[in-house]
Amino acid sequence: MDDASFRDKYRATPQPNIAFENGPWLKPSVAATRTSLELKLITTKARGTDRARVVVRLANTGRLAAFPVQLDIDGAMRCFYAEDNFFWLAPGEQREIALEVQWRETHPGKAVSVSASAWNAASVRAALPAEAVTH
Amino acid sequence: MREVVSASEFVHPLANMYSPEFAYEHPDFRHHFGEFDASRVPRMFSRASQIDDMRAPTIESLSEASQIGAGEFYQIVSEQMQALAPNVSGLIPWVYKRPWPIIAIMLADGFGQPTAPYYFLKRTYQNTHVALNLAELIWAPGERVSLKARPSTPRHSEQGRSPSRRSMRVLNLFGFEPARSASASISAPSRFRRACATNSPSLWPNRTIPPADC
Repeated sequence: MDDASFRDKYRATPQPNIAFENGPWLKPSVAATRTSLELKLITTKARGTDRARVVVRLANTGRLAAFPVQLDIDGAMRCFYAEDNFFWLAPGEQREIALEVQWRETHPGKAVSVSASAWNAASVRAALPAEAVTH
Repeated sequence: MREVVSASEFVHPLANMYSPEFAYEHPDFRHHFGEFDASRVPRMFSRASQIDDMRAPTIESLSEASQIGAGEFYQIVSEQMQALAPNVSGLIPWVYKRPWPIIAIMLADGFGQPTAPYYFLKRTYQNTHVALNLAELIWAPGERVSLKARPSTPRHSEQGRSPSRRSMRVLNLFGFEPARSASASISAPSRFRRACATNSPSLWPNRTIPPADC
Protein backbone atom coordinates (compact mmCIF):
# COMPACT_ATOMS: atom_id res chain seq x y z
CA MET A 1 0.00 0.00 0.00
CA ASP A 2 3.00 2.33 0.17
CA ASP A 3 2.90 2.29 -3.64
CA ALA A 4 0.54 5.18 -4.40
CA SER A 5 -0.46 3.95 -7.86
CA PHE A 6 -1.31 0.48 -6.51
CA ARG A 7 -3.26 1.99 -3.62
CA ASP A 8 -5.29 4.22 -5.93
CA LYS A 9 -6.09 1.29 -8.18
CA TYR A 10 -6.97 -0.94 -5.21
CA ARG A 11 -9.32 1.66 -3.78
CA ALA A 12 -10.99 2.51 -7.09
CA THR A 13 -13.39 -0.41 -6.78
CA PRO A 14 -14.98 -2.27 -3.85
CA GLN A 15 -12.71 -4.97 -2.43
CA PRO A 16 -13.51 -8.07 -0.37
CA ASN A 17 -13.35 -7.57 3.38
CA ILE A 18 -10.02 -8.59 4.79
CA ALA A 19 -10.67 -11.23 7.43
CA PHE A 20 -7.90 -12.95 9.36
CA GLU A 21 -9.13 -16.52 9.43
CA ASN A 22 -5.86 -17.84 10.78
CA GLY A 23 -4.38 -14.82 12.54
CA PRO A 24 -2.18 -13.30 13.66
CA TRP A 25 -4.67 -11.62 15.99
CA LEU A 26 -4.12 -8.57 18.13
CA LYS A 27 -5.50 -9.89 21.41
CA PRO A 28 -3.45 -13.11 21.75
CA SER A 29 -0.34 -11.20 20.62
CA VAL A 30 -0.82 -8.67 23.40
CA ALA A 31 -1.86 -11.36 25.89
CA ALA A 32 1.42 -13.18 25.23
CA THR A 33 3.17 -10.31 27.00
CA ARG A 34 2.66 -9.97 30.73
CA THR A 35 2.52 -7.05 33.08
CA SER A 36 0.82 -6.40 36.42
CA LEU A 37 -1.69 -3.90 37.75
CA GLU A 38 -2.25 -2.52 41.22
CA LEU A 39 -5.60 -1.06 42.24
CA LYS A 40 -6.37 0.95 45.36
CA LEU A 41 -9.62 2.48 46.50
CA ILE A 42 -9.11 6.17 47.32
CA THR A 43 -12.57 7.50 48.21
CA THR A 44 -16.23 6.62 47.97
CA LYS A 45 -19.02 9.12 48.38
CA ALA A 46 -22.73 8.36 48.26
CA ARG A 47 -24.78 10.77 46.18
CA GLY A 48 -28.49 10.75 46.88
CA THR A 49 -30.25 7.44 47.22
CA ASP A 50 -28.88 5.51 44.26
CA ARG A 51 -25.63 7.10 43.14
CA ALA A 52 -22.03 7.15 44.28
CA ARG A 53 -18.69 8.61 43.25
CA VAL A 54 -15.80 6.18 43.54
CA VAL A 55 -12.18 7.20 43.06
CA VAL A 56 -9.48 4.56 42.52
CA ARG A 57 -5.75 4.71 41.91
CA LEU A 58 -4.48 2.35 39.25
CA ALA A 59 -0.81 1.60 38.61
CA ASN A 60 1.05 -0.53 36.10
CA THR A 61 3.72 -2.14 38.23
CA GLY A 62 5.12 -4.30 35.45
CA ARG A 63 7.81 -3.78 32.81
CA LEU A 64 5.51 -3.57 29.77
CA ALA A 65 2.49 -1.50 28.81
CA ALA A 66 -0.99 -2.79 29.73
CA PHE A 67 -3.78 -2.73 27.14
CA PRO A 68 -6.70 -2.34 27.13
CA VAL A 69 -7.10 -1.51 30.81
CA GLN A 70 -10.73 -2.07 31.68
CA LEU A 71 -12.33 -0.88 34.89
CA ASP A 72 -15.50 -2.66 35.97
CA ILE A 73 -17.80 -2.98 38.95
CA ASP A 74 -18.82 -6.48 39.97
CA GLY A 75 -21.38 -7.81 42.42
CA ALA A 76 -24.31 -5.46 41.85
CA MET A 77 -26.49 -4.30 39.01
CA ARG A 78 -25.20 -0.90 38.06
CA CYS A 79 -24.32 1.59 35.38
CA PHE A 80 -21.20 3.72 35.58
CA TYR A 81 -19.27 6.34 33.68
CA ALA A 82 -15.53 6.39 34.33
CA GLU A 83 -13.22 9.30 33.59
CA ASP A 84 -11.44 6.88 31.28
CA ASN A 85 -11.65 3.21 30.42
CA PHE A 86 -10.25 0.72 27.87
CA PHE A 87 -7.01 2.68 27.86
CA TRP A 88 -3.27 2.21 27.50
CA LEU A 89 -1.23 2.30 30.72
CA ALA A 90 2.51 2.61 30.31
CA PRO A 91 4.90 0.70 32.57
CA GLY A 92 5.36 2.59 35.82
CA GLU A 93 2.44 4.90 35.08
CA GLN A 94 -0.29 5.46 37.64
CA ARG A 95 -3.59 7.25 37.31
CA GLU A 96 -6.40 8.33 39.60
CA ILE A 97 -9.75 7.71 37.99
CA ALA A 98 -13.22 8.63 39.21
CA LEU A 99 -16.29 6.53 38.48
CA GLU A 100 -19.81 7.94 38.67
CA VAL A 101 -22.05 5.01 39.58
CA GLN A 102 -25.79 4.57 39.43
CA TRP A 103 -26.89 1.54 41.43
CA ARG A 104 -29.73 -0.47 39.95
CA GLU A 105 -30.11 -2.38 43.21
CA THR A 106 -29.27 -1.06 46.65
CA HIS A 107 -29.00 -4.32 48.61
CA PRO A 108 -27.23 -6.78 46.30
CA GLY A 109 -26.54 -9.26 49.11
CA LYS A 110 -22.99 -9.96 48.03
CA ALA A 111 -19.61 -8.23 47.99
CA VAL A 112 -19.27 -5.39 45.51
CA SER A 113 -15.89 -4.45 44.12
CA VAL A 114 -14.11 -2.40 41.50
CA SER A 115 -11.88 -4.44 39.22
CA ALA A 116 -9.19 -3.62 36.69
CA SER A 117 -7.81 -5.96 34.05
CA ALA A 118 -6.10 -5.96 30.67
CA TRP A 119 -5.45 -8.52 27.96
CA ASN A 120 -1.95 -8.88 29.34
CA ALA A 121 -2.58 -8.33 33.06
CA ALA A 122 -4.49 -10.36 35.61
CA SER A 123 -7.60 -8.84 37.16
CA VAL A 124 -7.12 -6.98 40.43
CA ARG A 125 -9.91 -5.86 42.77
CA ALA A 126 -10.70 -3.31 45.42
CA ALA A 127 -13.72 -4.00 47.64
CA LEU A 128 -16.30 -1.26 48.01
CA PRO A 129 -17.59 -0.56 51.54
CA ALA A 130 -21.20 -1.56 52.07
CA GLU A 131 -22.25 2.03 52.80
CA ALA A 132 -21.23 2.98 49.26
CA VAL A 133 -23.85 0.60 47.89
CA THR A 134 -26.63 0.36 50.48
CA HIS A 135 -28.58 3.38 51.67
CA MET B 1 -22.61 -8.51 30.63
CA ARG B 2 -23.43 -11.48 32.83
CA GLU B 3 -25.81 -9.25 34.80
CA VAL B 4 -28.20 -9.02 31.85
CA VAL B 5 -27.45 -11.77 29.32
CA SER B 6 -28.90 -15.26 29.63
CA ALA B 7 -26.30 -17.77 30.84
CA SER B 8 -27.16 -20.00 27.88
CA GLU B 9 -25.60 -17.44 25.55
CA PHE B 10 -22.18 -17.97 27.11
CA VAL B 11 -22.11 -21.74 26.76
CA HIS B 12 -21.67 -22.41 23.04
CA PRO B 13 -19.15 -20.78 20.67
CA LEU B 14 -20.85 -18.90 17.87
CA ALA B 15 -19.66 -20.96 14.91
CA ASN B 16 -21.00 -20.75 11.38
CA MET B 17 -22.20 -17.16 11.72
CA TYR B 18 -21.92 -16.57 8.00
CA SER B 19 -24.57 -19.20 7.29
CA PRO B 20 -28.27 -18.32 6.74
CA GLU B 21 -29.15 -21.19 9.12
CA PHE B 22 -27.29 -19.50 11.96
CA ALA B 23 -30.24 -17.35 13.01
CA TYR B 24 -32.49 -20.39 13.45
CA GLU B 25 -29.87 -22.32 15.39
CA HIS B 26 -29.10 -19.42 17.77
CA PRO B 27 -32.37 -17.68 18.65
CA ASP B 28 -30.88 -16.21 21.85
CA PHE B 29 -28.13 -14.50 19.85
CA ARG B 30 -30.33 -13.59 16.90
CA HIS B 31 -32.47 -11.22 18.96
CA HIS B 32 -29.50 -8.86 19.44
CA PHE B 33 -29.66 -8.00 15.73
CA GLY B 34 -32.11 -5.44 14.43
CA GLU B 35 -31.99 -7.35 11.15
CA PHE B 36 -29.90 -10.48 10.80
CA ASP B 37 -28.51 -10.96 7.29
CA ALA B 38 -25.82 -13.63 7.06
CA SER B 39 -24.29 -12.06 3.95
CA ARG B 40 -23.49 -8.88 5.94
CA VAL B 41 -21.77 -10.66 8.81
CA PRO B 42 -18.29 -10.93 7.20
CA ARG B 43 -18.26 -7.18 6.58
CA MET B 44 -19.46 -6.43 10.10
CA PHE B 45 -16.82 -8.59 11.73
CA SER B 46 -13.91 -7.89 9.38
CA ARG B 47 -11.98 -5.74 11.85
CA ALA B 48 -12.99 -7.95 14.78
CA SER B 49 -11.42 -10.91 12.93
CA GLN B 50 -8.10 -9.04 12.98
CA ILE B 51 -8.35 -8.47 16.71
CA ASP B 52 -9.33 -11.97 17.84
CA ASP B 53 -10.26 -15.36 16.41
CA MET B 54 -13.80 -14.96 15.07
CA ARG B 55 -14.20 -18.43 13.56
CA ALA B 56 -16.18 -19.67 16.58
CA PRO B 57 -16.04 -16.91 19.20
CA THR B 58 -17.71 -16.77 22.56
CA ILE B 59 -20.18 -13.94 22.98
CA GLU B 60 -17.67 -12.18 25.25
CA SER B 61 -14.86 -12.43 22.70
CA LEU B 62 -17.14 -11.25 19.89
CA SER B 63 -18.42 -8.34 21.97
CA GLU B 64 -14.95 -7.27 23.03
CA ALA B 65 -13.29 -7.49 19.60
CA SER B 66 -16.13 -5.66 17.84
CA GLN B 67 -16.11 -2.94 20.53
CA ILE B 68 -12.38 -2.34 20.08
CA GLY B 69 -12.87 -2.22 16.30
CA ALA B 70 -15.77 0.21 16.63
CA GLY B 71 -13.71 2.28 19.07
CA GLU B 72 -10.93 2.62 16.51
CA PHE B 73 -13.51 3.73 13.95
CA TYR B 74 -14.89 6.48 16.21
CA GLN B 75 -11.37 7.60 17.16
CA ILE B 76 -10.18 7.86 13.57
CA VAL B 77 -13.29 9.69 12.38
CA SER B 78 -13.14 12.17 15.26
CA GLU B 79 -9.42 12.86 14.84
CA GLN B 80 -9.78 13.37 11.10
CA MET B 81 -12.78 15.66 11.53
CA GLN B 82 -10.98 17.74 14.15
CA ALA B 83 -8.02 18.04 11.80
CA LEU B 84 -10.30 19.73 9.27
CA ALA B 85 -11.12 22.66 11.54
CA PRO B 86 -12.18 25.34 10.80
CA ASN B 87 -13.72 23.82 7.66
CA VAL B 88 -15.43 21.28 9.90
CA SER B 89 -16.60 22.77 13.19
CA GLY B 90 -18.37 19.89 14.87
CA LEU B 91 -19.13 16.20 14.93
CA ILE B 92 -22.33 14.43 15.95
CA PRO B 93 -21.55 10.83 16.90
CA TRP B 94 -24.02 8.24 15.64
CA VAL B 95 -25.42 6.06 17.27
CA TYR B 96 -25.32 7.13 20.92
CA LYS B 97 -27.61 4.46 22.36
CA ARG B 98 -29.74 1.58 21.15
CA PRO B 99 -32.57 -0.05 23.13
CA TRP B 100 -31.91 -3.49 24.56
CA PRO B 101 -31.68 -6.15 23.19
CA ILE B 102 -30.34 -4.58 19.97
CA ILE B 103 -26.54 -4.38 19.91
CA ALA B 104 -24.51 -2.76 17.14
CA ILE B 105 -22.03 0.08 16.86
CA MET B 106 -23.05 2.49 19.66
CA LEU B 107 -21.56 4.57 22.44
CA ALA B 108 -23.77 3.36 25.29
CA ASP B 109 -25.76 0.16 25.59
CA GLY B 110 -29.47 -0.07 26.23
CA PHE B 111 -28.91 0.25 29.99
CA GLY B 112 -26.88 3.43 29.70
CA GLN B 113 -23.54 1.71 30.27
CA PRO B 114 -20.81 3.24 28.07
CA THR B 115 -19.14 0.85 25.65
CA ALA B 116 -15.46 0.89 24.70
CA PRO B 117 -16.13 3.24 21.73
CA TYR B 118 -17.42 5.89 24.17
CA TYR B 119 -13.97 6.11 25.77
CA PHE B 120 -12.07 5.89 22.47
CA LEU B 121 -14.09 8.88 21.26
CA LYS B 122 -13.79 10.78 24.54
CA ARG B 123 -10.00 10.58 24.49
CA THR B 124 -9.87 12.39 21.14
CA TYR B 125 -11.07 15.52 22.98
CA GLN B 126 -8.62 15.41 25.89
CA ASN B 127 -6.32 18.36 26.50
CA THR B 128 -3.19 16.63 25.35
CA HIS B 129 -3.82 14.34 22.45
CA VAL B 130 -1.61 13.27 19.57
CA ALA B 131 -3.43 11.89 16.55
CA LEU B 132 -1.58 9.40 14.40
CA ASN B 133 -2.61 9.48 10.77
CA LEU B 134 -2.52 5.92 9.45
CA ALA B 135 -3.56 5.31 5.86
CA GLU B 136 -4.22 1.65 6.65
CA LEU B 137 -4.62 -0.42 9.81
CA ILE B 138 -2.96 -3.63 8.59
CA TRP B 139 0.28 -4.10 6.70
CA ALA B 140 1.97 -6.85 4.75
CA PRO B 141 5.29 -8.23 6.04
CA GLY B 142 8.09 -5.87 5.03
CA GLU B 143 5.74 -3.06 4.04
CA ARG B 144 6.84 0.50 4.83
CA VAL B 145 4.49 2.50 7.04
CA SER B 146 4.35 6.26 7.04
CA LEU B 147 3.79 7.75 10.50
CA LYS B 148 2.36 11.24 10.55
CA ALA B 149 1.21 12.72 13.83
CA ARG B 150 -0.69 15.82 14.83
CA PRO B 151 -0.77 17.22 18.38
CA SER B 152 -4.12 18.45 19.64
CA THR B 153 -5.31 22.02 19.56
CA PRO B 154 -4.52 23.50 22.97
CA ARG B 155 -7.53 23.80 25.22
CA HIS B 156 -8.05 26.63 27.69
CA SER B 157 -5.88 24.97 30.33
CA GLU B 158 -2.89 24.92 27.98
CA GLN B 159 -3.17 28.29 26.34
CA GLY B 160 -0.51 30.74 27.36
CA ARG B 161 1.98 28.05 28.23
CA SER B 162 5.32 27.82 26.54
CA PRO B 163 5.65 25.50 23.54
CA SER B 164 5.48 21.88 24.61
CA ARG B 165 7.43 18.91 23.40
CA ARG B 166 5.94 15.50 22.82
CA SER B 167 7.68 12.33 21.83
CA MET B 168 6.52 9.19 20.10
CA ARG B 169 7.81 5.64 20.41
CA VAL B 170 6.92 2.81 18.07
CA LEU B 171 6.52 -0.54 19.78
CA ASN B 172 6.59 -3.97 18.25
CA LEU B 173 3.22 -5.62 18.80
CA PHE B 174 4.87 -8.95 19.54
CA GLY B 175 6.46 -8.32 22.87
CA PHE B 176 5.75 -4.60 23.26
CA GLU B 177 9.43 -3.87 22.85
CA PRO B 178 10.61 -0.81 20.89
CA ALA B 179 10.67 -1.55 17.17
CA ARG B 180 14.15 -1.79 15.71
CA SER B 181 13.87 0.59 12.79
CA ALA B 182 11.04 2.96 13.55
CA SER B 183 11.05 6.00 15.78
CA ALA B 184 9.90 9.56 15.54
CA SER B 185 9.67 12.70 17.59
CA ILE B 186 7.26 15.58 17.43
CA SER B 187 8.11 19.12 18.36
CA ALA B 188 5.29 21.58 18.02
CA PRO B 189 4.34 24.99 19.34
CA SER B 190 1.21 25.08 21.46
CA ARG B 191 -0.68 26.80 18.65
CA PHE B 192 0.40 24.23 16.14
CA ARG B 193 -2.92 23.40 14.55
CA ARG B 194 -4.05 27.00 14.30
CA ALA B 195 -0.93 27.75 12.28
CA CYS B 196 -1.70 24.87 9.96
CA ALA B 197 -5.36 25.71 9.59
CA THR B 198 -4.62 29.19 8.29
CA ASN B 199 -3.09 27.66 5.20
CA SER B 200 -5.28 26.86 2.23
CA PRO B 201 -7.01 23.46 2.47
CA SER B 202 -5.94 22.97 -1.11
CA LEU B 203 -2.50 22.19 0.31
CA TRP B 204 -3.99 18.91 1.46
CA PRO B 205 -6.32 17.94 -1.37
CA ASN B 206 -6.83 14.44 -0.04
CA ARG B 207 -7.95 15.95 3.28
CA THR B 208 -5.76 13.85 5.48
CA ILE B 209 -4.13 15.12 8.64
CA PRO B 210 -1.25 17.41 7.71
CA PRO B 211 2.16 16.08 8.66
CA ALA B 212 3.69 17.17 11.93
CA ASP B 213 6.27 19.36 10.25
CA CYS B 214 3.84 21.35 8.10
